[in-house]
Amino acid sequence: MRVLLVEDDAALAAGIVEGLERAGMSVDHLDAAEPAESALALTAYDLAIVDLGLPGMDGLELIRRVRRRKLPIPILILTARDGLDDRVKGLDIGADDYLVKPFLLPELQARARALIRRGGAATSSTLTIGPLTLDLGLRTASLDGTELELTGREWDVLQHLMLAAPKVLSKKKLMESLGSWDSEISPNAIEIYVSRLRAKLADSGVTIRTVRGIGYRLESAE
Amino acid sequence: MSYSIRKRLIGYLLVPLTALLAFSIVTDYREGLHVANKAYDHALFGTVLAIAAQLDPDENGLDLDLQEQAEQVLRTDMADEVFYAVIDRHGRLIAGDPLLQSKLIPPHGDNPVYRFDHIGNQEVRLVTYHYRPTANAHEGVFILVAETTKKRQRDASRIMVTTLWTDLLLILTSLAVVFFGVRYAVAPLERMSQRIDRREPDDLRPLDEAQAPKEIRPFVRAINRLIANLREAASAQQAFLSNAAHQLRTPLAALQTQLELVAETLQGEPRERLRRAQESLVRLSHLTRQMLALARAAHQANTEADFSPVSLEDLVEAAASDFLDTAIARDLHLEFEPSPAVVAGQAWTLRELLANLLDNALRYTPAGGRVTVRCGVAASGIPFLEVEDDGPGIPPHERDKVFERFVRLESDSAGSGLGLAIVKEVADLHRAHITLTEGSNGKGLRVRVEFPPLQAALSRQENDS
Repeated sequence: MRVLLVEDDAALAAGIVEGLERAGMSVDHLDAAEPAESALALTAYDLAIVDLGLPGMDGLELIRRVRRRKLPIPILILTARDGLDDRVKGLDIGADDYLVKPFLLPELQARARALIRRGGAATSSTLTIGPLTLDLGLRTASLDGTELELTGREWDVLQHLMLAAPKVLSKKKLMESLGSWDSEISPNAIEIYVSRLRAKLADSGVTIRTVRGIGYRLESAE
Repeated sequence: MSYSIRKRLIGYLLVPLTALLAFSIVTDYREGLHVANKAYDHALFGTVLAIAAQLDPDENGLDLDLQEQAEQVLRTDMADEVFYAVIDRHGRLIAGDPLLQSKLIPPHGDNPVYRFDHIGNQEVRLVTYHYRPTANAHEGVFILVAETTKKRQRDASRIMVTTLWTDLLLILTSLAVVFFGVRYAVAPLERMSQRIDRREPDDLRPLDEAQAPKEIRPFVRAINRLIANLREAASAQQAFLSNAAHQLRTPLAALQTQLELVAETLQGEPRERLRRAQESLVRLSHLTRQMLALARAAHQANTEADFSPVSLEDLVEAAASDFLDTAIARDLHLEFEPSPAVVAGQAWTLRELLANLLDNALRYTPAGGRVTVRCGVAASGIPFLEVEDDGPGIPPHERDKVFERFVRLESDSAGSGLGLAIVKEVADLHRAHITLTEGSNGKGLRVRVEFPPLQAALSRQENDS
C-alpha cells in the first residue's frame, strides 16, 4: 500500500511517516503541493494525505486539481481549522475524509486503512478487513482464504458494513441501500441477517458491534 | 459632570419666559393705570367745563355765578372729595376754594394741564385750565379743579389684581406647555436609549439611523462607527484565532504522534512516565480545541449567523461514530434514541455542542454506567437534543454555575470547565434553551437543549436581516 503524505511541518510529517510504515504502508513525503500534483499524476498511490495549510498552493487547490485530472485516488485531509466550512469545502471538492489536528496515531491509521480499503474496492474490486476478504465482482467472501457461505442479502449487509468501517453504519442507511421499489426491508430482517453473519464470523477476529439506537459497526482485531 | 437635556431645555426656556412675563405684568399694569387715569381726567375736565359755563363776564372780567345747589352737584362724587377754584390772571381768587390758590401754575402749551398734587396730606389729581371765553377778553381766567385719588387708587389695585391673575395664568400655562413639550420632544431619545439598553451584550449590529430623530442622527452615526470598530476588532480577533489554531495544533499533533511512536518502543517505568505525559498532552489538546471552539462560537454571536436546516438525527448518528471508541475504552454503555428533528442552525457549532455534552457525560460517568443520547421533536413541536447519564449528577444549587467558564465543581477533577460554557454559547447562538435535571431514575444528569421550531427560527432570521 503506497501512501503520499503532503505536510509542511517536518516533525509531524516524520511522525506520520513512521506511524503509517509501522502499520505496513509505504509512505512518500512531500512538503509542498506543487511537486505533489505531479507525483500523484505519475505514481499510482493508494491514498493521499493532504494538509490544508500548505505554503504556496494550499491543500484545497491541490485536491481540486487532482480531481480535475480525474485521478481516482482516495484523499484524506488534515486540517488545523475546525470550522465546518473548511471541512465541507474539502469534501465538496472531492476529498474523502478529514482529520482535525491534533489526532491520535491509531485514529489516523484506521482512517487511512478504511480509505485504502474503499479505494481498493473501486480499483481491484476486492474489500479486505483483517482475515475477511470480499470479492465484489464474484460476490464471494473468504475468511483466511477459506470460502464463506453467504446468502445474497447477507453478502450485501457485510459489504456495506465493510465499506462503512470504522464508522458506525446506521440501520436506517442500511435499509435504504438494500431496499428497492418492490421489496422493502424491515428492521427485523436486518437484525436476522446480522445475527446470521455474527454466527458465520464467530472466532474469526472480525465482529459486528451493535450500537443501540443507531446501527452496527464492523470491528477487526487487526 | 452629568446634566439632563430636559432640565436644561426647561431651564433655558423658563428663565426668559418668566422675565418676559414679569416685564409684561409691569407694562400691563402701567398701561391699565394710564387708560383709567385718562378716563377720570376726562370726567374731571367735564367739571371744569361745567364751571366755565357758569362764568359771566362783568366789568372786572369774569365772575362766577354759581348757585349753591349747582355747587353741590359739582362737588358731589361717589368716592372722592372735589375742590375747585377760579383765579384771574392776577392771581386773585374769583370763586371757589382758597386752598387751591397757591396751586396755580399757569399752563404753557398744553391746555388743560393735569398733574398730581397734595392738599394737606391728601393726594389729589389737579386740572388747570386757562379759560378764554372771547378773543378780545382780557386773557381769561384759570379754572382749577382737584379731586382726591381714592377711586383712582381703587382702580389701580383692581387693575393690578386683574393683570396679576391673567399673567400668572399665562405663566402657569407656559410652564405646563414647556414641561410637556420638552418631555414629548425628548421621548425619541429615551426610546433610543431603551433600545440600546435592551440589547444583548454581544449584539454588534448597527443602530437603525432611520428610527432616530434628525437631531440625534450624528450621535447615532458616531455610535454606529464605534460598533463597526468593535466588529472589526472582533474580526481581527477571529483572524488571530484562526491563525493561532493552526500554529498551536500542528506542533501538538507532531508531539502527540512522536510520543505515541516512542511509547511503542519503551518498557516498564519509562513507558509509564511517557503514558502520563501523553495523558497531559491529550488534555492539553482537548483544552486547546475547546478554547478555540469557545472563542469562535462566541465570535459567531456577533455576526449574522448563516443558519441552514440541520438534522439533529444526522448529528447524533455522526456522534455515534466519533464517541463509540471512547465509550468502549471507559467501559460505558453508549445508547441512542434518535428521532427525526431539524433545526435552523450552524452544523459545526451544533456538533461542538453535542460533542461537549457527550464528552462530559462520558468523562463523569463511572465505568459500567450508561449514557443515552436522544433527539426528536416534542409533542409541543419543539425540537430537542438530550444527553443523559447515570453518573454522579450535579446538585441543584450548583446547576447555574456550571455554564460559567473554567468553573469546576468540587467533585470534578478531570474536566477543563469549558465544555458547558461552549454548550451555553452555542445554545445562545441558536436561541435554544438548556435545562439540567436528574436522569430518569433520579440519579445522574440529563441535559436537554430545546430549540425554536424550524419555521419560527427561519422566519425570525429573515426578519433580522
